[in-house]
Amino acid sequence: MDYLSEMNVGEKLQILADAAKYDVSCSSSGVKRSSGGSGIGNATAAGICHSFAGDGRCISLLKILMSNDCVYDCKYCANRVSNDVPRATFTPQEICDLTIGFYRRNYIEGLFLSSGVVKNASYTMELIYMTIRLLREVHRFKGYIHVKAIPGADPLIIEKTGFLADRMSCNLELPTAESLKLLAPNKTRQTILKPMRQIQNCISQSKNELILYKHAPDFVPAGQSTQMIIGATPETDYQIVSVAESLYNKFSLKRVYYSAYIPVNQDNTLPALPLGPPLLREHRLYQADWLLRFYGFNAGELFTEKQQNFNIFLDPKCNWALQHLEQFPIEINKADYYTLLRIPGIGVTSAKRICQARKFNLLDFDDIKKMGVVLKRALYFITCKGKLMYPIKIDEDYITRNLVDPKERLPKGISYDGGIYKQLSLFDDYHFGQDNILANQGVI
Amino acid sequence: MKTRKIFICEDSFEGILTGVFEAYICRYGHDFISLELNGEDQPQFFCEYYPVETDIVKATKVGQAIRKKISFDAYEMLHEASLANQTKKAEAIYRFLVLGFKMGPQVMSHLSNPYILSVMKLSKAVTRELQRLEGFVRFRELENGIMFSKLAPKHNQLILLAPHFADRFPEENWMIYDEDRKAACIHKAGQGWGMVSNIKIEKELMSQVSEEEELFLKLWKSFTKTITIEERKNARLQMNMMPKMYWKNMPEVE
Repeated sequence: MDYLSEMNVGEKLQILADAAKYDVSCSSSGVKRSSGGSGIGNATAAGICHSFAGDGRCISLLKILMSNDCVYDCKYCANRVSNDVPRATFTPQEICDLTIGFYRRNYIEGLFLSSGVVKNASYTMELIYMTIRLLREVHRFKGYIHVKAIPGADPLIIEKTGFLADRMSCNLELPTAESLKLLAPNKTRQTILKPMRQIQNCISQSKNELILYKHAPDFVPAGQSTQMIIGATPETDYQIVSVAESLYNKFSLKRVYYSAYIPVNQDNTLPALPLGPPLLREHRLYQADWLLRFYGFNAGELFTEKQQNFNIFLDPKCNWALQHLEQFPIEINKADYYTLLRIPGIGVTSAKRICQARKFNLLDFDDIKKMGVVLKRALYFITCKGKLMYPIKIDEDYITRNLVDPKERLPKGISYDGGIYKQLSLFDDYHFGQDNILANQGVI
Repeated sequence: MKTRKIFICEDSFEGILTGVFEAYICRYGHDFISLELNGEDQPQFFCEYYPVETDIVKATKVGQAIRKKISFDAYEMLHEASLANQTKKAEAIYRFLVLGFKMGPQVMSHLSNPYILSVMKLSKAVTRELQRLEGFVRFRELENGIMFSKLAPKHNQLILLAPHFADRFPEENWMIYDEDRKAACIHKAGQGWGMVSNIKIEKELMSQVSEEEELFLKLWKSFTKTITIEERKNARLQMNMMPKMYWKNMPEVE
């Protein structure tokens, strides 16, 4: 271990940022705080993206691991104990200097601190706690801090950490308990859900106290989030979305992140992905996630018994609308807010604008177009003053043909050539994670 | 048929509000008056042109009336719209106010009116860039400890940007310089901030950075490179989220 102490901050940063890059969460939103005229830093409710990496993901926080010297052996992870990779560990002081140095130059919005398990869970959590305490109390840092709760750590340290952090997260890693058992032998579903429940309880307790006492300490004010790896195990999209839904309902999570599986290790329990990571599937899951959180959908509505996976050619809302054509067309001037939200192509902003503007006069297609409502998809599903935009028939095949978005990045080897929807039923059960199997069978 | 009166005002919030004041006070009829910015359009026939001299007292009066009769939100929105780098904004603001003083606070949701919509769009354009800039501003530490940042924003943003950074770095001496408009906002540690116009900062002055600066620049560049997942490379998405016009002032993508 001696040579580690000679490693400079630059080298450590490279190793530990590289190890942290597969963590998806990067939001800096959910808390509004002023510096109050002293110290350094504030936080804005919407969060701020400071830069964008070459893969198009935003860089908002200094995303690093405390250490990649992990004692666990999770099969999908680059830092598992059986891998021969360079190991490094930051000292709390180094992390503080980096954070403040970057923050002063407005490179970042705050710190995202995760860690491999060093020695044991409680010891690791203690290291994280010491670091953010130094940052908050000695450096008087008031920017955003997101830390991981390490499953299996002493609840007392997790609680103490929560009073200093803005967001905590505890990764679910894989959608089902069986998959977890298979790929992450040192973790169990129970140890992961325990800190999640604890954080949830502390948050609601702290909220109650804040009602009574104005200056009660705030526990994880930006809420907690979690993350699942998609495509490493054989779950269907329906299973994944249901898991997310129950996390939102039962654990009051702020966000569930989905991470397309990227093979970093060779193992016979892991799928090989010759066609690249399942990015489109990840995209569909995020679309469905938005439908759950902001559009009043529930998981059961988005799937049917026959269709347990998303349609690769259509987004989940279009797909839902096409199977419920009896509810369309919807009259823009009459439908209530939640009905407007169900129209493909109309989102929260458009629905709100329509509700505001129609108080003054009946809206026509021209009016809503000017307001910024995108009619590309919506025009097949709406009427204004009782009229459709063009004389079209409300027919599943016809609309599908017009809705397929050529700009979306379909998996390699698949293209939509304008064939009708019925022909696509071949792909209805198409499983994104099993590209290679299909490839072998000569389907692709 | 009356001849049209066109008031020419200065390109600033106060300038436009003074124009609105003059348009009301002349009692000529709103239908026969328009507001234009200096040098915005070719002079037309059969119009009378009146240059308006910016007057803080008159502008303040209109400002107060907006807050009282319409709403504070409307006042903020008009302020943002007035900073936009677009033509016809004076006319849009004037028409907004003509309707707004009649309708009161509800005017904000009258989106099917073209002038209300265009004021809203102007203010959206400005705030959208503002949100981006809050992230894309990059400071460098000069030899004398001042944090310096150079920008070339599309809209005249500095006055909206300053409060955010004043709250963020209350104990720093910092300065944000708008290269195109030759203006700067300057903040003194522990005190407030102020705007300075018509200044030119020499390149040499900007490049005298502190010793630590090089180190952090190197660390930051290596961090942004490392955090990229090669398998997910997507240059188009990166460019959509971070338009190229900002790149020249961002060290990690220079």
